[in-house]
Amino acid sequence: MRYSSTTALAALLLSAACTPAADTPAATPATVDTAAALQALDALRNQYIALQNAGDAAGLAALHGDSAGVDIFGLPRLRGRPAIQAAFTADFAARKYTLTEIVPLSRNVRTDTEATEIGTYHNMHDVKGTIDHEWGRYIGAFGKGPDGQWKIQYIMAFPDSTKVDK
Amino acid sequence: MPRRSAFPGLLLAAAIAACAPRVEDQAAAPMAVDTAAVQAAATGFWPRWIAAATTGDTAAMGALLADSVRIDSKGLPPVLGRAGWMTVFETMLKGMKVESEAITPEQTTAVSNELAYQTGDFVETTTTAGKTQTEYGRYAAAIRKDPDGQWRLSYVMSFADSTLPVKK
Repeated sequence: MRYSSTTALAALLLSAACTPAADTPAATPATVDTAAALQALDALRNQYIALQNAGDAAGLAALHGDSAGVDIFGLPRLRGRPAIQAAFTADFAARKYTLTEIVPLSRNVRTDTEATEIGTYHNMHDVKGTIDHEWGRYIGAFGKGPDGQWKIQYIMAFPDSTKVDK
Repeated sequence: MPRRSAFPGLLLAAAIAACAPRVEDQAAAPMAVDTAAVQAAATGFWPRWIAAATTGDTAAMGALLADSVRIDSKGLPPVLGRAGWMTVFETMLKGMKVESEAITPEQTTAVSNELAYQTGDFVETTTTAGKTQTEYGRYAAAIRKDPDGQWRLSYVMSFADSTLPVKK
């Protein structure tokens, strides 16, 4: 992302899609398959990294839920996949991601279909031959849809520091 | 909140292990989620926070934080736990006055009867060393109901989108 790119990140929280519908019984399963959910989140993160480094805005947007939300420092509030894809497209037109690192610090699998995560990220960008770095923090919320696919439902992220290579 | 302050005034967040019911606990609570009540509690949290912040009552502010609160605010290192918050913000608030603060939730999700996730906007005007500024930003927060029945902030991430000086 233009300033924050963090998009790269992964992170978390809230979206209607990943929480119980209003006033419906919280039908919590007897057990939660935490390992399976974490494995799915790892796969989602790896996809995210690959697609961001490839500059694939459509692919990256497809990792988000239809009504996903993204709040990244330096970008306006993004709500819905089309808005998210448009932001990625503009970002990738301005710079190439040469490195994306996402490191979860804390993950919480609340149910078999919803999880949250906080962590840090490091992105490197090539802007017309100039390489810069960005290190920051993120939070994310993820939901598993009826199709069995885990998607990003919400992300907020901001950079803590940036550096331009000489 | 001023850049550095990141909301002393504010709050919010998102979901961390500390702020969500433990997996083991969930299986024992197949209750209906009273969405309206949870949303009201989460939204009602802020006026109390604002009242404490604008009067500089750090004890009252601290009482609104979960023991294990985590605050990720741009311009500050991660703040961990109520004690950590006290260390960082008590000092900060000694040199800064929160003139006014407004927190406007955008979306509140009742995750359970004891947990709400919320995103929103904040506007905070502060005075530090005679200089007054207004900060406009966004937040994401997790607000939970503790065993004592009190709703407290368990996580918040926030950043300012813009900061403007205030001419008096």
